[in-house]
Amino acid sequence: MTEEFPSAAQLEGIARRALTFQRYIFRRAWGLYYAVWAAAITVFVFGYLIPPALGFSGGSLGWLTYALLYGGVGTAAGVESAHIFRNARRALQLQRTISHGNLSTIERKKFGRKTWVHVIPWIWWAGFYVIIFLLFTLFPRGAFSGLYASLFMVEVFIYFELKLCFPKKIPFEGKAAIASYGASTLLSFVVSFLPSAFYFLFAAFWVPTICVWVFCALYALRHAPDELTELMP
Amino acid sequence: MPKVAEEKNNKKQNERQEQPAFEKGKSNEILRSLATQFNDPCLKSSSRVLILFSLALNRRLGFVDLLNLTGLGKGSLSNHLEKLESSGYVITKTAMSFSGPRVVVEITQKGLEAYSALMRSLKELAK
Repeated sequence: MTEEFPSAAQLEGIARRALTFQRYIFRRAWGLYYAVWAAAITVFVFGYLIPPALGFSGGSLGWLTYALLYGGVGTAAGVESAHIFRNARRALQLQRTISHGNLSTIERKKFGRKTWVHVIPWIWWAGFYVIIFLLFTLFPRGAFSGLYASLFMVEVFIYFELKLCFPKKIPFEGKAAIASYGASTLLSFVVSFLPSAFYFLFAAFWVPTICVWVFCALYALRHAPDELTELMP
Repeated sequence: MPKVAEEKNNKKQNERQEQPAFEKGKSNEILRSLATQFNDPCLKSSSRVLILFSLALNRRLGFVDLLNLTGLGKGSLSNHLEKLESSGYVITKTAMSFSGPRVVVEITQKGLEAYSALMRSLKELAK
């Protein structure tokens, strides 16, 4: 490497190398994301069993345990998600910057979108919470069906973010995570129309997703260094 | 067409194809202005600019990550980081992790500003 101010071509090369390296960083970060969300889904589905098991059923201690459990995993999952999504946007910005010079028309369409387009996911999330709130307030009977229908929005959101991080090809574990999550959501949505006697199926449907996401976490962490091979001299 | 002229023509075409898009137009002028703007010998190194780029994308990276990114040896990377740190672009810290203490490098506000200036130049070059 030189000890002169990099030339235009070198600057472009540097940016491309930084972006290639970013795939390794993203894959590792997504590994952590799957792990944290697998824990969060486990707590959301089975968390209600924990306080009674600890002898804290009812009372303020019981509520505190719930709050710590749900709030804790929710916060951890939210922080990890925000971390990935912020980095993905920064990488996209750099990708767009270097791409404009020598992009094909398709790539230009892909990376040349206006900045405001990336505000859409946040509007999406806000919409998601408004829908959930309205459902449980105004239509408590169909609220669970609505909730599971809304979870498809999360599916699309995850796909969108994976596409941002891996514009060329979503890694295997990403596809597996999306597929398992989609299947559990769909089955839960169907069961939500059945009598309450079948409600135990909700938990059963989410167990495969938890297992797949744990596998995805391990797979992503194990295979993230594969992305570094392109950086080898 | 005579063979020599044809070869010359082919060579010209190949050169044009190999030329990166950024080498067009006023790229040298932009780079000269950028070099003057920084006027900092610290950024006269592809390795250090690469470290700056990656840190700007991630805000902080471990020393091992930077080894993977740059492909440099430990000593060489430490030298580059020292130069970046003495110019105020990054700060090096020791953080605790599950596997024990590890060295992490964080980008500073000055580093982010330098990155923004480089990005602006890249945008100009890409136009």
